[in-house]
Amino acid sequence: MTAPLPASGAPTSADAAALGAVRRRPRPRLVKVIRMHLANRATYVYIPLIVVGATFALSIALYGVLLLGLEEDAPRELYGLGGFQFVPFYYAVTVGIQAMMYTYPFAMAMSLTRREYINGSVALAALFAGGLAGLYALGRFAEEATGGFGIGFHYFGLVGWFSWFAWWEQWLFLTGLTLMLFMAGFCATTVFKRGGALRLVAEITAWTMSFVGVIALVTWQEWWPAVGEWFLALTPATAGGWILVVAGVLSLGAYWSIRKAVP
Amino acid sequence: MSAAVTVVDLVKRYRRTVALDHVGLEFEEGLIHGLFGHNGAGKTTLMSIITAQVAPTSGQALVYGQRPYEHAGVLQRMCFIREGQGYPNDARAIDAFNAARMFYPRWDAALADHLISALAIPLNQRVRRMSRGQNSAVGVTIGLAARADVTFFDEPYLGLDAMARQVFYEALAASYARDPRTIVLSSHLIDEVAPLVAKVVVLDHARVLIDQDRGALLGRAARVIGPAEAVAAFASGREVIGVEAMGPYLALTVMGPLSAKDLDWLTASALTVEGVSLQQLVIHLTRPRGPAPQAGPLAGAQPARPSEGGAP
Repeated sequence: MTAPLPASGAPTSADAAALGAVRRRPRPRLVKVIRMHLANRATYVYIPLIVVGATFALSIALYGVLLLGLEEDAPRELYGLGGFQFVPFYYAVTVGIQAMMYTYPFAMAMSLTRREYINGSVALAALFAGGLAGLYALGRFAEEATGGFGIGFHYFGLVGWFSWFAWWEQWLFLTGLTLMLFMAGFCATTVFKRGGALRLVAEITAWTMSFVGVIALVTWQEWWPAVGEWFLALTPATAGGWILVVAGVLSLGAYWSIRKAVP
Repeated sequence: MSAAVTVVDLVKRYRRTVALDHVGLEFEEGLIHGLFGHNGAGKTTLMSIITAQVAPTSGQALVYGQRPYEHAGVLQRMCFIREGQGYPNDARAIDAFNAARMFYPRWDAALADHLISALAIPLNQRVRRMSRGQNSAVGVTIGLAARADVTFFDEPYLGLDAMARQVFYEALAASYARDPRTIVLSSHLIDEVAPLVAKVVVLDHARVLIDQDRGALLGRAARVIGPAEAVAAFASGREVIGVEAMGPYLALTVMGPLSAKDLDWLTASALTVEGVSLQQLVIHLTRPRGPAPQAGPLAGAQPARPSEGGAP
């Protein structure tokens, strides 16, 4: 067992060892935090896969029903659009909430610092986001190789704006989107843990009012044309980059709230 | 002996409630401490602040001379198993143990295996579906096997049956004997943990009431047993904190250390002196001081004076 720091007097070799034991920079435990989260495999693996599978199956089933009602010479490309592609990404909000609710008390019992916990949780979120977006990239390859699964159905490749760009740009955008939604759920839960439901509602209201204020400012200054041009110039990659910035801000917000959150 | 934990003028307020009121104490290196007190006395708040899970209103808690908040080097040396400890939602018991093993490099696998077997912990069962006792069993296993330099147990016995509690106490004693470290044991079952603790801290209404070695604390009272008249004579003028009547015999627990003269008189009177129950002593010392109680069994007794062979 290491000895405590000396109260007074010249340090001995044992004291120096103890001093080192406290002051030496401990090894980062980021991977261990990720593994701790992954005790909830259903939350991060099974349920997201079920959601992806179910939404895909539902979409293709609905497309099949549409095909049955189409005339033979009707343009199918107008109907071969999946409708539920973004549902798994909205689920990322739930994953973020559960990540904080279900593991924070245990993390504190294991004497993790809040910084270690946040860093590990953000790393997990990045892995989750990259994995989910990667699943869609693989699905896009399969779609393109089979002409929409042989029936002109577009789902993983998304449509319109996304389909104009390379697969990696789509991956970057979806990774950023998933990460942002995960951190939104995570950050909201840290606010809840710190101040309860009242504080959470107050902060959401304040942010919403701020957003309305920005819209009012843009309208008053007649900046909408410039705003529109900015949006039109976005590619999935640049949009994904901006979304990652928002995710980063939410991560900082989560750390700010968690500093005094009680497990 | 040096202090592992030093608490200086600690205050914690929750709106209008004062949970800790200028608390100052030390938990010494390598000792088992009993932390006792009424419900709401501030025990959990104190341990939560020391382990940096709750921020104090003012004052400070130092662990090995350092503030523990966000100090990985200090926090990694502590483990806090609280009442109703939360675990990852889908985690099975085996997942909780594997996670604890990751975070505590001094994890004692042999001890963990022994406790898992002795406490019959179902490894593949989700912790959230366990009974309260099984949940506590997981917690005490982690707390002991982690072998952290400073370990806090906050009422770890909740739901544990008597046999399981005995397994925990024996494992705690054996682990401590092999690997002395600082342990703080907060419990309402004072007499059960009394043999384990070397130092007693009692919080009462957010303040430190007692902070003393167990032996010195128990020396503040004594239990005198013998014929009712002789015992009553001895107890005359002393503060009596416990009364047990057994036919013609009486057992009284009285405050105050016994002097050599007292012991001589007791021996001459063929009265028996025993140690007191720590629980009884703590209960007495934390009892609210209100109006004088109604007359008890000693009311009206006329004790003999010393010159007549009565109490000194």
